[in-house]
Amino acid sequence: MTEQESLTVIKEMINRTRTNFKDQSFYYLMWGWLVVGAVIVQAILFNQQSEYHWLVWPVMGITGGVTSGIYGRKKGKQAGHSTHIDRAMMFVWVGFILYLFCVLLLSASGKFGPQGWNISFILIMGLYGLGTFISGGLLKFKPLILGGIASFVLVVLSILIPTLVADFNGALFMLACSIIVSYLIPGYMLKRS
Amino acid sequence: MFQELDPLLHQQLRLQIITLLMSVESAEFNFVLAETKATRGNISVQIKKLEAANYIEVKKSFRDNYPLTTYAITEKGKLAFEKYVETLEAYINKAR
Repeated sequence: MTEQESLTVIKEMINRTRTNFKDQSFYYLMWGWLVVGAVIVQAILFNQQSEYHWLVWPVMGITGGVTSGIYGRKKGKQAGHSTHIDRAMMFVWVGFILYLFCVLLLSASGKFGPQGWNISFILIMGLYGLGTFISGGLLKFKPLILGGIASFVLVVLSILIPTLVADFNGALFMLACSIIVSYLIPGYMLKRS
Repeated sequence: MFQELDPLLHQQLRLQIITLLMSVESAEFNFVLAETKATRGNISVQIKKLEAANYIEVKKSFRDNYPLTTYAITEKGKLAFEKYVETLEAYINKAR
């Protein structure tokens, strides 16, 4: 084998392991639409004065978690390899879920006061932005980074203009906007990339 | 005076395997088989040579009740690959 042939082998193998990140769009689109669906169902139940309106979130979380698990396992089997980015992404999103659980627990504990739910909505919007921002950086995909920043902007707006999240419907609307800018729009752009 | 290219890496299939493993965290046997397009027997022989030199580590486990063999490059393997590429660059630059 000549030196030039060695170089060709190296280049060829590196090109073969270039990960196609398009598959990652599945998670953003699935979770994005699940959250939008949950927001709509909760708004309907809340406005009909159902006391069980909050139940949509655990149902959505379990549905999304199981679907993500099945999809991830299937894709992992098909790929036959794992990259350092795969591991970093897994830690980002597992950390996201653990922190989300902490925010929900804190909100349920009543430690935020009677209007505690709107503080937790703002924290969750920031969390959506954080997850997307970091994963955008890892995947080197600008729309995800910008989607994360857009979600942070919505957090700042919600703090500066408290009337936006003063009532429950307003907070739900802001949460839906946050998921649209940080998951759905970048998710569709990732799918088309 | 040029350094000699690492003879363990200066072989097509072993170089293919080590480059693949440089780019991923771990890879299954079937992935190596598909990407290198070599035969199972040849891959096994070259893997053993790389493992004996501590350039890669081999893990055997089970998935869905089927045996699963995965490979990962070691620190020694990474250093050897980096040195190989440096030496290769020196050869190519000299030839230009």
